[in-house]
Parts: sequence; structure tokens; C-alpha cells
Amino acid sequence: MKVLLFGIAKDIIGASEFEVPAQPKHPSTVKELKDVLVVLFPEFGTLSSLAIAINSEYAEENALLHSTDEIAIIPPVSGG
Amino acid sequence: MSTTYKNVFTQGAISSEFIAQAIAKHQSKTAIGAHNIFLGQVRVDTIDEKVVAAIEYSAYEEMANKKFHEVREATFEKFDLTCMHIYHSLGAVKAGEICLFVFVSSPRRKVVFKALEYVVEKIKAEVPVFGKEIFEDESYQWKVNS
Repeated sequence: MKVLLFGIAKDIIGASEFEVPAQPKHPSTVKELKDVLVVLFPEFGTLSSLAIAINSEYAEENALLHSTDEIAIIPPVSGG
Repeated sequence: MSTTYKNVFTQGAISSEFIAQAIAKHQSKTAIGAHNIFLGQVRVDTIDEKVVAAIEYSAYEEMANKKFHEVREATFEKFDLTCMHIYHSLGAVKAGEICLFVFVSSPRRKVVFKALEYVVEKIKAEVPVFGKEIFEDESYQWKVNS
């Protein structure tokens, strides 16, 4: 599963995309994806917010992830 | 998925000439009785004795343009506006320069005061735009909207 990275998330991982490891198991929900990210990159746990967008919409914790979805990590926003 | 939304982004700072032209273009829209304009300006913050020289903006452009669209739709639904324009910078904007230009117009003044605040607050909270504060010594930190 590939995720798009923006803002500080891009700095934390050091790339603009990240292939989430399939082992031990593919994250199937937003919550599981966030947990995996925090385990792999503890700095995500220190951010004031961490949102996941599925197909350009903010997703709830229990939303399901599908392989065809465009999934993005949205760190704290700071437009304007 | 493939819907293309209007592009709100412009490379670099928003010039005062551009803003003046935007105002001038509305002279033919004679039903309008009141405009209200918000201009976001890059502030010189000092953080741990480091001084902000610029903000470099990046965005999840596809989603951001969609969010800007949704903010527009929501605002038109809530307020009696004649028109609304939003422009946001991408790339480096130096301290003192303009990075966000929101322009709302209505037949009556009371509407534009409320509508403008609504639009700007929604943009600040929801649109995936990311500002990197570049300090004078070229180090940086990611900004968080409060």
C-alpha cells in the first residue's frame, strides 16, 4: 500500500511517497495505518494532529482502506 | 475522482497590482454594494531567537483545490454573496508579502463581514496547505495554524 506524504510527514519519512510494509499485516483501517506509522516513525506520535485522507477526503479512524484508494498523510495544516 | 476543480494556487507572493485589478474587475458588477477582503501576510515571528524570513508553501494540490471548492460552496449556501474569489500562494513568500487573498462581495455590507470570517477560518482549518517557516539562517520549521 502506497501513501502520499506532505509537509512535515515528507520530512519525517524522507520521501514524498511511502510503501507501507505488508508484514506482519496490511493495515485495513485508518487507525491501523496510523498505528503502523507511529511504530515505524515515532515522530508522527509527537505531531499536534495526524489525519489520513482517502481519495482527497478526510477519513474517520474506522474508515476502510482499499488498494485502489489514493491515501495521503495529512500533518497539521498551516495555510494562509 | 477525475473531477478537476478550479486552481486556487499561484506561484510566489500575491502582488498588490493583482489585488487592485481584482477590485477593478468588479466595477461592472453593479448589484454589489459591499466587498470585503482578507489578505494573509507573512509575519516576522521570532522563535528561539531565530527570525522568520519567508514561508515556503506546499500543498496536496488536488485535495486542496477540492477543499477550496467545498469551502466556497458551503459559504455560498450560508450567505447571500454575489461572488467570491480565493487565491493562495505556493513556493516561497517573503516576510511582509501576501500569501492569501480572499475577496467576497454582496449587495449588503453585513453579509460580507460574516462571510469573510467564515471562509478564512475554514481555509485555515481544513485545506491541506503546509507552510515551512524559513529562518534568516536558512534553517526551518513547519508552521502549525492556531
